[in-house]
Parts: sequence; C-alpha cells; structure tokens
Amino acid sequence: MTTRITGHEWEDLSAYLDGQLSPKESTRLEEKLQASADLRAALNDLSQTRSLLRSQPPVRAPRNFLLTPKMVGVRRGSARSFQLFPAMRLASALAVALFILVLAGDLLTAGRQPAVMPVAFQSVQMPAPAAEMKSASEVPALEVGAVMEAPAPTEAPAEASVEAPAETQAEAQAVAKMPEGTAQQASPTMGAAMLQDSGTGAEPYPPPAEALAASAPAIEQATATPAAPEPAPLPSEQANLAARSAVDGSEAGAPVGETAWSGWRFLEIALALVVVVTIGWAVYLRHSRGV
Amino acid sequence: MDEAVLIQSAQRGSLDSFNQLVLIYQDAVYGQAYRMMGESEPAQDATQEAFISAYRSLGSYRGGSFKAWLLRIVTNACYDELRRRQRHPTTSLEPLDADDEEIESPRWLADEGESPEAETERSELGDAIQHCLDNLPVEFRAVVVLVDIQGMDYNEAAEVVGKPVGTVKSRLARARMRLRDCLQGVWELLPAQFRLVGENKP
Repeated sequence: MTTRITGHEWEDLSAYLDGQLSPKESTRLEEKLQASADLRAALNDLSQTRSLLRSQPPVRAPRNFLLTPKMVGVRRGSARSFQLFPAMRLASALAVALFILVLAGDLLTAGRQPAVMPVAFQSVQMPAPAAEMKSASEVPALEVGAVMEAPAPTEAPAEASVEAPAETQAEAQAVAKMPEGTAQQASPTMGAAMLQDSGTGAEPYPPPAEALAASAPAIEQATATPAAPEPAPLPSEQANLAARSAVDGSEAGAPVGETAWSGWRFLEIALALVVVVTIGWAVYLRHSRGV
Repeated sequence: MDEAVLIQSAQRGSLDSFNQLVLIYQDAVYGQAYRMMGESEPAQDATQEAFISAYRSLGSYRGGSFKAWLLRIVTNACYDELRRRQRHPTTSLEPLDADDEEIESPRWLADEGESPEAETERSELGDAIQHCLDNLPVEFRAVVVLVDIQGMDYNEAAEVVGKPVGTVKSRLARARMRLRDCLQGVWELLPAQFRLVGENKP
C-alpha cells in the first residue's frame, strides 16, 4: 500500500505532523493528501506511531548521579583554586617576561662591563709614566694620540724617543680603545708593541719579549725623572692632576662596576625565584582543578 | 536558583552548583541513555560518565540550551559504548536451536522479575517500543528519542546530534517508518486501547 510513497513524501508527512513544513509546503502536501488514499493512510500510521512514542511516561533516574570530589578529582577549596589559577598563570607569565628583560639588559651591559675593570686597572698605572713623559718633553698630546679619548693620557705629552713614550702611548691607546673591549689592547705589553708598530710603520707586532724590553727603559725613566725639576711646571702639574683624576676616576669606577654587577645578579636571582614559585603554584592550582 | 547562575558558579568550580544542575537534568539524561542503550545498568554508567565529562568540560559550554548540551554529551557517550560493543561483541546469551540459530526470545516476553516500580515503568507497550528502538540504527534512534520522547524540536535535536536540521528531519521520518513496521509485528501484544487504534489498519 505504501510502495508508491516516496522517501521525500515520508519526510514531508513526518515533518507535517510536527508542524515543521512551511505554509507553502503544507498546502501542497494537503492537496496531495486530498487526492491520495495511500498518503492519508501513511499519515495515519505515522501519527499513531508518533502518538505511541509520545505517550510514554518519562523515564525516571533510578538513583541520583551527584558528583563527589573524588569522582572529578578535585580537592576541597577547588573553587578558590579555580579562580586563582588564571591570576597565577598571568603572574608567572609576567615574571618570565620580566626575567627575560633583565637578563637581556644584563647581557647588553655585560658586553661593556669587562672594559670598565681593565680601564681602571690601566689608569692606576698611569701616573708615573704620564708624569715622566711630561717632564721629558713638551710635545703636545695631539701629536701622539689624536685618537685617544681618555683624559689622563691625552694630557700627558708623549714624545719622541721610541722607548720612553712607549709605555705611555701604549697605555693611552689601551685606554682609548678599551671601551671596545679587546683584551689585547688592555695589556700593557701589547700596547707597547702596538706603539712600536705604529712608530716603525708597517712592521708586524714584535714578540712579547721585545715589547717588554722596549717598555722597560720607559718605566725606569719614569721613576727617575720626577726628581729632576723641569722648566715646564705647569704642564707637569696639569699632567699630574690629570693623572690623579684618572686614578681617582678609576678607583671610583671599579666599585661602581662591581655594584652594577651585583645589582644585575641580585635582580636575576630574585626574578628567577619568583618565576619558579609562580609557575609551580600555577601548576599546582591547575592540577587541583582536576582538569 | 536560576540555571544561568548555577552554570556560572559551576564553571568557576563549584561542585555543589553543578550537583544542583545534575538533580535538575538527571532524569532527562538518564532517559536518553536508557532509550539509547536499552538497559538500565549501561544507561546508568553512561549517565554518570556523562555528568563527570560535562563537569570537566564546562569551560567549553558557550551558552544555549544546557539540556541540549548535556544530552549531546550523553548521546555521544552512548554512541561510543555501542560502537565499542560492535567491535567487541559479547557471546550471545540467546538459546540456540539444533542448527545453532538463536531462538528468538523477545525481552518484552520474558519475566525478568523486576521490582513493582520497574514493572510499572516497563509496561508492555514500553517494552515493545524499546525493543523496536533497539532495532533501529543508532543514529536514527538518537533522533527519534530526542524528538518524540524527550520532546525536543528539530533545531534542538540538530544541536544535540551535531547535524543539520534537514538530516534530523530525514532521520526522524525513517525512524518513524521503521518503528511503525516493527510495532505492527507486535500489535497484538499492545494494550487494548492501542490495538483498537491499529485495527483500522488495512
């Protein structure tokens, strides 16, 4: 009897019973129903089946399905933990970001940090050669080290004899170039070698022993000359003053560098602790949520 | 307390609030599981698992009908269990005849010795309907239970099964056709009032 009813018509009949057809579709189906007894019988069958299903009393739960903390793996106070978790997650993220910033700042300053210490070390050794050099000659500093930027060595007029100014100029160069941070330039021996190299033109650097030999007379002369009064006291005083200021500056500079170093380390350690604590707490809260 | 307030509180981790929602919806959730599974014990397991899963995934609830959201979870749990059973079928308990064919012993004919409440619940008609539901493909079964037993409209049912309304419409019509054919076979066993309804059938 229903063999002539298509699947689409069954769908329309079913939806018609539920009032799910549009007015246009309903009108069209009702016209078909008027014309087809099979369609009316099919509609009647579906309506009975639908009524049977809907006549069923709702099934009652045979028991309560309440959840216990054990079932869902949460502990007491989980509600507060639930609220604290996002805050702790944010705090840990901020701590990590801050730690990275501090670490980056430390690394950036650390590139310059080693230069501060040798500069101070070199400057402490400056006075004797500088004073000696002043008494030895009157040649302006510009002749020696136009490239030098450090105040103390440039005040000392370095001259002339290949040995005597070697120490001074070498150190002047060392001071001038130290901020660039090369260890070679920080070494007095190598500085002397460089001076000798500059004095002799394009020759390669002499071996270290040679450099030491070249700088030795300069040191001796430096210790000897201050005793002998020279006709240019003013520049000499200026040189001494400059040298002292260099010494003072270097003595003051070293502790500053150490303080900065300690400050960075202290900050890094403190932030690392904060990072560890906040992340650990966040992980604990996450687990306590049972998620 | 307002349902929305309970849901928000539960989303913040309040198990007590969620349990109030459990009390509100456990009949509907168990009813869906029972109609899907056809047996009480597996339905209870599916219901409990569904509520646990719902609590743990409350963060994924984005509004709309909370009942539909719960029914979707329990329906999917039933799908999983029924598919697992298909992959790992258990030995049939049906008696076999001399040719190793199962002797048909419809469950609605058997006296299972249930409690008075259960007997009331599982009336003859109910047993017959459940038997016919069990013979439906699981996708058809879910839709006809949602619409004709849970009383949902097409849109809600579509939300639960995660399919378009057109698919719901089609599955519902096919499910009703099959149920009609199945119920015709047990028509004589139905209560008199329904037999009378069926007697005008050709």
